[in-house]
Amino acid sequence: MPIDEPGRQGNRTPPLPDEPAIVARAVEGDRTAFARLMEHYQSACYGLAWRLLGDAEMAADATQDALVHAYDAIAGFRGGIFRSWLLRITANASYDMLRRAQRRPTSPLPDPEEGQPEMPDAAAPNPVAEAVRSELYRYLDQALQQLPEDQRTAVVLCDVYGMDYNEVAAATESALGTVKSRIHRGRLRLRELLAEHRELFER
Amino acid sequence: MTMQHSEHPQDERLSALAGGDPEATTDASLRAHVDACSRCAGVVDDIGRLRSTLADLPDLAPSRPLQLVPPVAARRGRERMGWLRRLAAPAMAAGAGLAVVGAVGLAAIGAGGMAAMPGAQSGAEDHAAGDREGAAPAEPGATAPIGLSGGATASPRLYGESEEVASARPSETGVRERADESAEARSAPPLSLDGPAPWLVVLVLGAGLFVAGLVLRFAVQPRAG
Repeated sequence: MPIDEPGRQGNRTPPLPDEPAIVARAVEGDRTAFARLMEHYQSACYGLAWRLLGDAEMAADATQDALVHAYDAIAGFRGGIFRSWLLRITANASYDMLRRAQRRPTSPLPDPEEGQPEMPDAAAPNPVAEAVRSELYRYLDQALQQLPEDQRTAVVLCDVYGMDYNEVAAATESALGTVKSRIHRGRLRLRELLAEHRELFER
Repeated sequence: MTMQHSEHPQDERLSALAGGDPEATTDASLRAHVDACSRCAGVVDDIGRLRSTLADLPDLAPSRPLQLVPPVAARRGRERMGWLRRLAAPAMAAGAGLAVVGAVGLAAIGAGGMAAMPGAQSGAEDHAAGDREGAAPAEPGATAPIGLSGGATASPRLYGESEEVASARPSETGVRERADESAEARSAPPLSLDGPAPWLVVLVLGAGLFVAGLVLRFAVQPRAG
């Protein structure tokens, strides 16, 4: 299952119309083409980073790291969906930041063992384009932030960003079975957290 | 309350089914159970809707402007000139230290009864001063040689570094000049430990090193483009 398979884009940034050509130029070292891609996809990267980290500033730092890593790695891009490639890099940068933050005793991140993280800063992220951030999205993002960190990471990567089990396992340096279990437990926990907002799921 | 009746599959299996996990979707008995069990069908349904909503979560605008392309200059600098620029801080620190040692030495000699500063220019006077100083070791004599010997062993190594630097960037006339200056100073042959000349050498060497460090830090900018 590729990241964001076609038809599942919804509120997400769609590919640029002439994206393959722009990517090809960026791979050749064209900085303008690279900047265009980054400008286009920075909100996709930031959304992923914010959902993984739950903090606006850390998410911006992780996204910035990811853009630098992408610049270093773009020459080795060997085709595929550019957005997926970039999101993998962002996931790695965010995960690195998460690990670093946890090693610091004064971490602003909630202890994953407590399972009771802070609610996300309501003022922080702004949805892009016409995607009005409905109540549903807000509840869902809040519920995601209440998951234990390992479950949140797995669910965000798999269900929000469409990575398959193997990609999640690679991004989180975890065993496949562990990843599956985290995803399933995370989904079930989300379902419980959102039980009082069932009406939001009726379409 | 957990609804884990023995006949119900584990909820994690239901999640796997809702997620389209082949292990689960090809499990005929699991599917048969879900088809027949409204409770389990409800879980699968909920998770299916949850997943489709998760997949629709919008992208989010960054909380602050991001630098879309790393500056060429900085990156090149890190790769090519980084080692050079990394020498800057140690060179400046060592230079400042040496200069202070030299200045203290000179001042101490001055305090020891000699008009050391002006006399320092002439080697002959240095020796005269040295002779007299040797007769009166006093306060400076105790600390000065230690400081000097430290400086004397440390400075050629550091000096060598900055020379390397100078040859790496022949256009840096500042560094060259310093190198020449210090080379001159070093080759001034009859150094006696207790005249002002060695202190002056240390001072000049230190100042030169410091300036070389400054040059490295600020003048050796990796070129953009």
